[in-house]
Amino acid sequence: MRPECKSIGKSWFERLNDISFWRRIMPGLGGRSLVSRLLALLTLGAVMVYLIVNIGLWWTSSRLIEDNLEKQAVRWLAELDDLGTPLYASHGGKQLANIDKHIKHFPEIAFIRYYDASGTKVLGEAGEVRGADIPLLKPQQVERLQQQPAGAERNYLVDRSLLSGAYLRFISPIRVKSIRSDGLLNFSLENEKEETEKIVGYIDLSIDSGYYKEQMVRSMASGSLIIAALLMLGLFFGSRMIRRALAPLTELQAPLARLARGEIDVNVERAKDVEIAVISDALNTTISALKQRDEMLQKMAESDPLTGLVNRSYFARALGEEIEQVTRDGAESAVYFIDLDKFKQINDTYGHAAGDKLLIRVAELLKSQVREKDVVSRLGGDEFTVLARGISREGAMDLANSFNKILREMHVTEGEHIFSINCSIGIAMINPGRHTTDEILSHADTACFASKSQGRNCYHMYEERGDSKTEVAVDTGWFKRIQQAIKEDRFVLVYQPIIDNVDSGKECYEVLLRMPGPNGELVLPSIFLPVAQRFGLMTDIDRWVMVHAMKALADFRAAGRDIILSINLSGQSLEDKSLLQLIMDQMTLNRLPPGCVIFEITEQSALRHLENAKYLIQGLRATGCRFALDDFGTGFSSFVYLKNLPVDFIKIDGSFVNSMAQNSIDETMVLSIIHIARSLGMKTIAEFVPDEKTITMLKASGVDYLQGFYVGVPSERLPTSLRVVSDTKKNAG
Amino acid sequence: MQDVRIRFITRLSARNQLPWNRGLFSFSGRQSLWAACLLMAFCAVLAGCLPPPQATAPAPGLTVLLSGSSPAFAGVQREIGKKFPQRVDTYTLDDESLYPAVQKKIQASDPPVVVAIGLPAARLAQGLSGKKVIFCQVFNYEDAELVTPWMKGVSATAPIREQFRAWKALYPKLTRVGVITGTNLQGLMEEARAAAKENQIMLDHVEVRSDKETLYAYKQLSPKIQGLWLVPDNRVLSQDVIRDIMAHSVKEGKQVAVFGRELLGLGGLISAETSYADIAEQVLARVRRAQEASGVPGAPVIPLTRTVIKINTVMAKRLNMTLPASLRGMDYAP
Repeated sequence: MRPECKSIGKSWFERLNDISFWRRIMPGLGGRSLVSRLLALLTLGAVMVYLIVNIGLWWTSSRLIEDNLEKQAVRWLAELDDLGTPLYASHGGKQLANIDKHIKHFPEIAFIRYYDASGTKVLGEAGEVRGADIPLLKPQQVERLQQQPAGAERNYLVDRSLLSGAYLRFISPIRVKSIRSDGLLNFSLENEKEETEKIVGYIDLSIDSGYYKEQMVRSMASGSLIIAALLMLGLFFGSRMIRRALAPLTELQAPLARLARGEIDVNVERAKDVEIAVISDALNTTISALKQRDEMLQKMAESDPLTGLVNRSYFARALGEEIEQVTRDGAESAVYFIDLDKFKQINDTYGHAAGDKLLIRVAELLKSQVREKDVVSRLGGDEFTVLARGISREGAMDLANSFNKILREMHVTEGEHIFSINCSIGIAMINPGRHTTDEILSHADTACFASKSQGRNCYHMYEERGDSKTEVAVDTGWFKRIQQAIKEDRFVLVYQPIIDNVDSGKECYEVLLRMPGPNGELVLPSIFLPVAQRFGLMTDIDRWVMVHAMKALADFRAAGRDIILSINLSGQSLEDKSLLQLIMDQMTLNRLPPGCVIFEITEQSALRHLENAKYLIQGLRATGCRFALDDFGTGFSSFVYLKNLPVDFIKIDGSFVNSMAQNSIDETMVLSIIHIARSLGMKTIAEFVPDEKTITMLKASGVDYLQGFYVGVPSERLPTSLRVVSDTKKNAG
Repeated sequence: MQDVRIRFITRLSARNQLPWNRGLFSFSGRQSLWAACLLMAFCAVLAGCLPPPQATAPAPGLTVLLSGSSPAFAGVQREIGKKFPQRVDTYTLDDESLYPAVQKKIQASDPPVVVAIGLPAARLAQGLSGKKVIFCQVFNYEDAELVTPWMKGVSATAPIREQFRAWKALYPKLTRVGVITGTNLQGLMEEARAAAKENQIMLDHVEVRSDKETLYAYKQLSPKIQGLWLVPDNRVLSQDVIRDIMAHSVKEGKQVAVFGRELLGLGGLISAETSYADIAEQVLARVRRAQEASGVPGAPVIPLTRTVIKINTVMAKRLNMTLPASLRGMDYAP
């Protein structure tokens, strides 16, 4: 039932109280609306003005009425003075009837009373109101009148207290005059004669001022009704007019609402009014700017800032669309996965600036080889992907060949250095309706991996049936497995002992990660960590390891094993600003003393994320934790960086330790690292210790710790006893 | 309009026929007066009551006491001074605080007769002992109870008969006149009634107590009368009331006989004024008689002999009156 139907049958009072009734008349009522506010302000202003005017009118009119009554009373007093003369005449008065007759025409005269000269005796009364209700003159009043000079301008008293102000009472003396004895001799009106005055009585006149006030109230009430009606009418028409006037503004509501919802394909029609035109122009300008910014953001979100190529998400979307297109058309397209060979080496050797320059150049070259309709993207790091639309298998291979060739022939100059780079390419043809985006990318990645395995600087076409190990290594199923392992806590932590050369009683273990494979076997990190790295899962893995390693440490310590654990951190985790807080929270949660945890980061990761590494190291060292620089010696880093990295341990890369007994250069490297570490106050850990001879050499060179399969193998359970350094027997597992 | 004044002075001789007071009469000849005096003297001699005529001693001087410096007093004093051959000591009562000193001085002075001009002077002179006092320019002498065997006066008003006669001559149809006075004016009213009767005029007299009542009484009386004789009774008149009376008269078309020509301008028809010379003469006449007697012989108040009549020609024309030949010379255009 519509609200209008509800109103029918209601009394006018109910309708007035029905808010919907008013909303139909004045839309926006009840809500916060400019029109309502304007109307409310206008109404308030009008009401205020009305009240002020009415109050002023009332006050002024009351004063005017009283003044007029007073003036009229003065005239009446003079007339009554004359009319009352018989009361004071020689033969007494019988003329009160005249007074009644006279005052009958003046309904506002309430009563009249004549007093004798003393002011105490009433000589006569007249008027509608008589009797005992009217008090006699007070002696003070009589005295005041007697003291008034005869010629005073106001020779009467006004009493407003009579019957609580209902009447205005005027009391005037009746005076008689006589010229002095010689005043009439040589009489002349020009000369003022001295006259003697005497009060012979008093007139007491009361006027009902309420009569006029009542008239005034009636007039004001009727006027108020008219004004109220006019005000309502004014409000009604005013709201219409204001709405019409504000229509150009209200028309902006819809496009602004759309803008607020995020729609930027809005066009605001230019208003005809100058003031609103400015707003609509500004809005259109803003919308244009928003569109441009949106496009720019879109572009930034979909492009790689370094090379200007599209990024992974755009490429994935374009690939998805191409798959659909291929499925519809039955045409052929190809996806290329291009990985630059030994890019890291160039980056480390010549610096990041050179590496970036190289990447930009590679991007340009790749783009130059493809058509407009093809898509070239940079996946990240030194990995590029290309979508070649409408290309045959042979054409795809030709294109891959051109990629190889052009990059092979490319030379980049950086300062005095000229370097070039090759690439390994994996090609995956898009078969209609058979594979998803991720699968095709994975196929191309797999093929790229195969290309690398084949010696790099070549391409490899993905075939459905490939090497199982490669498939296992790079199948996208690993991504899901890793995610599952994280989610279901399926990773396994193993602990490899680190033996203290000095204090064999100290127990220290490096925490290593294993993952159960599809057949239940434990998969090494070298198999799944690259996938994790590629798919950005390293941070999650590090967090998982952090949490579980610290819990395990707490359990070991609770069981009476005062051990130290060394936990690895990936380069990706160094970019996680929340990692520091996580570590501190876990240490607090597990009540671990800071000195029982050592964190390891590789030298390469530290250099790649130097500032983040310094931040993390300093943050954790402040809590008492210690840091080790892992794989030291492989990153071609300058020893200068060691000064800036406040680490406690340097883990000498295993490649040096493993062959130091046979290779003097490696031995020299190890000795140098030990010497420098010692000079910097750092301790050294030798990794991959292979045999007893190496142990003897390391001991002689002063290394602090030993680690390796010969010293101790990684195990899920801690060994019951540690290998004593002086004992050449292998540690019992 | 002609602005010609013709002063008509009617010489009057008082006929003092009886001991009671009769107003003032207007008739010619001093002979009647002398005849009356001689007759009285002869009768007194025959009766053995009249003392042998004595040789008139030279007048011992005169004291004149003025109530103030008003022309009404000074004028009379001036005339007295002109007409009295001996020394005249004049005292003027300007400062009320000096009254006792003045009284004392006069008491101590030689002249046995004192002329008191105005009511304050007359009141002060009342307190003198051993002095004979002649008062003048006192209207309400009865109210003031001035008359004693050694204190008598001269009328302050012009002879009423002459007034009424002129009025009647001006308006022969005048038959009813009203007069409003205060109390205690029997002498005046007797004279007025006699003058009215002589001129076939009915006089309606109303006594009032205040100026307010005067106006009220006049308004009440007005429909019944043809004219009002406005008497200069200061006790019941005020300037406002005089104006109101004159205004009412003009509005109602009433004739008003006034006591001063000034009032003709307010609508009065006919005015009657006294003459300082006449007052002085009458005063001196009484002085001389008083000097020869133990008290002040004669009537309490003797009338004046002359009246200065003025007729308002504007008002007369308005009231459709024509100035008769006998009254030519009395016209006055305010």
